Amino acid sequence: MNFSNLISATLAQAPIPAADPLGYPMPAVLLQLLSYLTLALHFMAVNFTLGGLIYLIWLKVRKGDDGAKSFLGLSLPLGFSYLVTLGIPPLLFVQVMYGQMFYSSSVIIGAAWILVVPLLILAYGMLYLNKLKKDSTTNAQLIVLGVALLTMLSVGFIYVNNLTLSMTPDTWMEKYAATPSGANLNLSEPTLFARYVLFMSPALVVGGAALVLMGIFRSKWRGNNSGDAAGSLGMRGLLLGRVITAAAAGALIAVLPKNLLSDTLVGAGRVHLILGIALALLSTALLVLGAKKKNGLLAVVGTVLLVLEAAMFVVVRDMLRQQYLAPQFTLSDVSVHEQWGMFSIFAVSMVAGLAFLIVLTVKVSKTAIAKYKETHAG
Amino acid sequence: MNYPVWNFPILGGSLVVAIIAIIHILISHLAIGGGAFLAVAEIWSNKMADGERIRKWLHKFATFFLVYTTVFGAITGVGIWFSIQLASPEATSLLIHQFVFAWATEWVTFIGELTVLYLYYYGWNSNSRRMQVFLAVAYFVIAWFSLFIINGILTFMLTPGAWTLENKDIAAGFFNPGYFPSLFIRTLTMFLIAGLAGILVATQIKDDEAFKTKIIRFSAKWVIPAAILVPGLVVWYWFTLPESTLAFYDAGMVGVDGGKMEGLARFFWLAVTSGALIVMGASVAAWKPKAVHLATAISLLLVAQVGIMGAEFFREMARKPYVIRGVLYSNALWQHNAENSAYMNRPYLSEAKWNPEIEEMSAEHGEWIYRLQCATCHTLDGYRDLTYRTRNWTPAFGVRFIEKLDEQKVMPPFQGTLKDRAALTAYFLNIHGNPVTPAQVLELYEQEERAKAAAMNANPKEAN
Repeated sequence: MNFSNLISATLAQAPIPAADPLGYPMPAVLLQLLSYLTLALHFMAVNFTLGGLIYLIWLKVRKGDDGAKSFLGLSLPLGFSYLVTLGIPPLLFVQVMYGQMFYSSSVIIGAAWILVVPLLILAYGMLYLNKLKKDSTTNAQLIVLGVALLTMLSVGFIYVNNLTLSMTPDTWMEKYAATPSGANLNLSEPTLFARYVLFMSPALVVGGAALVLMGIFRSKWRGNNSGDAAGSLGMRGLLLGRVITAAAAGALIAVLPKNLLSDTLVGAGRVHLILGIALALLSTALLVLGAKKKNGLLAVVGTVLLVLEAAMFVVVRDMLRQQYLAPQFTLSDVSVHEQWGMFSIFAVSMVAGLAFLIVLTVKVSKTAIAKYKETHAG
Repeated sequence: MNYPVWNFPILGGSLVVAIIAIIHILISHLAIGGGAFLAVAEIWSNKMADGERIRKWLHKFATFFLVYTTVFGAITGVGIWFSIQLASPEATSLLIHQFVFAWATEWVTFIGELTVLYLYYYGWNSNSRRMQVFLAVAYFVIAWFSLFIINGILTFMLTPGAWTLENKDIAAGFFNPGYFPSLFIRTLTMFLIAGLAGILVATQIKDDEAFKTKIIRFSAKWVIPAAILVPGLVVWYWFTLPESTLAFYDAGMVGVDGGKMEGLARFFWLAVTSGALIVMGASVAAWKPKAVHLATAISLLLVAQVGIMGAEFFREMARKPYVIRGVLYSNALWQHNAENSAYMNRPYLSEAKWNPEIEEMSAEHGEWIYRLQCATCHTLDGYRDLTYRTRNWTPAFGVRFIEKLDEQKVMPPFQGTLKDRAALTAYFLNIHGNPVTPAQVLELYEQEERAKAAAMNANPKEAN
C-alpha cells in the first residue's frame, strides 16, 4: 500500500482525543502531587535495581567483593518487584491526567509497548534465576545478568519513546497512518537519546548509594572492615553516575527547543530545578563523606535526599511536558468531578497500610539483624 | 472515534488482552489462595508431630509460590493493563477515571502483600513461629482484599447495575448485581488452584512416600469447597446476567461457516467440564497419592488453565457487543451516540479524528473505515478474520449486510453513510481479488435496489 499521499497530508490540527467525560476525580494539583510522590519512589526503585545490576555484573567480571555480590544477588529481585509495584500509581495518574495523549502514543507504538510485558518477565526471571542458581559458572551467571541488563535497558528505552511521543501530538498522524500495527518508535525525536541517558544514568548514583550503605552497615554489624570494598566501589560509581547525568542534562538542554526551556524554567520550574541541583550536590557530599568516614547516619541522610532530589526533577519534568502540550492542552481544560469519598478510603488505607508495614518491617528486621550479628560476630 | 485503533496483525488487540488475562488469572488466583494455603499449612504444622518436616516442604512451596506469583503474576497483571489501553483506550479511560481510587487502594494491597510475603519468606530462619503464622494470615487477608477491589471493576463491565454515565454512582457500579457471586466463585476457585499447586510441589517429595501421601491429601482437600459450592454460586451468577446474554446462550449464534456456533454455551461448558475434571483428578490424587507424578499435577493445572479460558471467554462474549454493557460498544461507540441517528448517519471519516484527510470514495476510504471501526475486534487474516468472513460477499450484499450489522446483537451498529458502506465493501472485495471501486459497488447496489423496487411494484406479493 502506497501511503505517500497520506503521509504528505498535513493536518491543520493534531488528532488529540477529547478528555474523558468523567473528568478528573479531584483537582489536578492533587493528582500531580500524588503522581510526583509515587513517580519519585518508582524512579528510586528503578535506579536501585538497574544500578545494582550494573554493579553486580562489574563485580562478577572483576571477581570483586563476595559480600557485595551476595547482597546484590539477594536484593535485586526484591528491588525489581518494588520497581514494578511502585510504577503502578504514576502510570495510573498519568492516565487520569494525560490519558488522551498517553493512550494515543501507546497505540502508535503499540507493538513496542506490549513488548514491555515479556521483557519485564524476562528481566525479573533472570534476576531470580541468578539468585536461586548460586552454583552455576561465572560465565553462565554473566549471561543471565547480561540478559537482565539488556532487557531492563530496552524497557527504559521504550518508556522514553512512548512518553516523548505523548508530548508531541503533531507527529502522531504520520506514524499511525504508515504503521497501524504499532511497530513504531519515536527515533526522530531530537531529545530522545539525551532524555534516555538522563533517566538511566542515576542508576549508578542510587545503586552506588546502596553499596555505600551496605558497606558501612556490614562493617559495623560484623565489627570489621568487610564492607570497605563495597563502600569504595559505590562511592566511585555514584560520582561517575553524577558526571554522566550532568553531561546528559547538558545535552538535553542543548537540544530542547529554546522557547520550551525558557518557559519551563521560570517561577516554580526554576525553583524546583535549583532545589534539585542543590539536593544533588548535598546528597553526593553526604554519601561521599559517609563512605569515607564510615558514618551510617550521613549516608542514610544522603540517600533520603536522593528521593527528594528525584521528586524535584520529576516536577521539572512535568512542567516541561505541560509546556510541550500547552498549544493543544492544559490540565485546566478538563472538568473536575470530585470523588472525595473514594479518595478518603484510599488515603486511610494507604496511611494505615504503610504504618502497619513499617511496624512489621521494623519488628522483623530487628530479629533478623540480631540473628545476623550473632552469626557473624567476630 | 476518539482514539487510534491498534491494528495488531494476526492476533488483534482483543486476543492479546485475552492471552495475557487468561495466564494472569490462574497465577493471581494462586497468589491469593496460596496465601490461605500457607497460613493453614503453618497452623497445621504447629499441631503435627512432624511439623518441622512439613515446614521444610512448605519452604519449597513458598519458593515456588514467591517466584511464580511475583514474576509471572505481577507482571502479567500489569500486562493486562498495558494491553487493555491498547485494545480499548476509550473504555480503559472510563474505568480509570471512574475507579481511580479503587485502583489506588488496590495498589496499597499490592505493596502490602508483597512486603508481607517478603518478610515471611526472607525471615524464614529468623522469625518466631508465631510471627510466621501471623505473616501468612496477614498476607492472605491483604491479598484477598485486592480481589475484593478488582472484582468490583471486572463485574461492572458486564453488569453495571444502577450506574449510569449521568449519575456516576460508584457504589452502585462497584457493588453491581454480579459482584458477590463472582467474588465467592473466585475465592473458592483460588483455594482450588492453591490445592493443585500444593499437589504439584508435593510430587517433588522423592524419598518418603508416606509423607508425600500426607501432603497430597492435605492439598487435595482444598478442592472440596469449590466442588461443593461453586455449582450453586454459578446458578446465582447466572441470574444476574443480562437478559440478552441469556438469550444468546439459548439461541446460539450463526457461526462463520453457517449453522449454530453457540459460542457462549461452548465456553460455559468448557469451564464446567474443566471444573468437573479437576474435581475428579483431585479425588483420584487423594485416593492414590503415590500415583501422582509431576506430569499428572501439571496436567491438573493445565485443565484449570483451560477452565479459566472458558470462563474468561464466556465473560467477554457475554458482554457483546459492548465493552461496558449498555454504555460503550466494543469499538468505542458510545450508546448515547448510537441512539442519535444524526450522529450515526454522518460521513464517518469526515468526523473521525484519526483520518489523514482521506478522499471520499477513494481506494483508501474503505480501508480507513476498517481500521477505525472494525479493527478493535477483527483482524484481516487472523483472529476473527474479516477476509474469511466476507469471502462470499457480492457488492450489493456487502452494502446491505453492513447496514444491518447490529441485527444479530453481537456487533455494534455501523456508523456512516451509504458511501461509507460501499467503500468498506469495496475494500473487502478487493482483498478477495475483485478489483472494484467504491463507486462501482455503490452503482451495483443501487441497480439491485432499483431492480428489487421495480419487481415489487410489478408484483408486490412475490416481491414480499
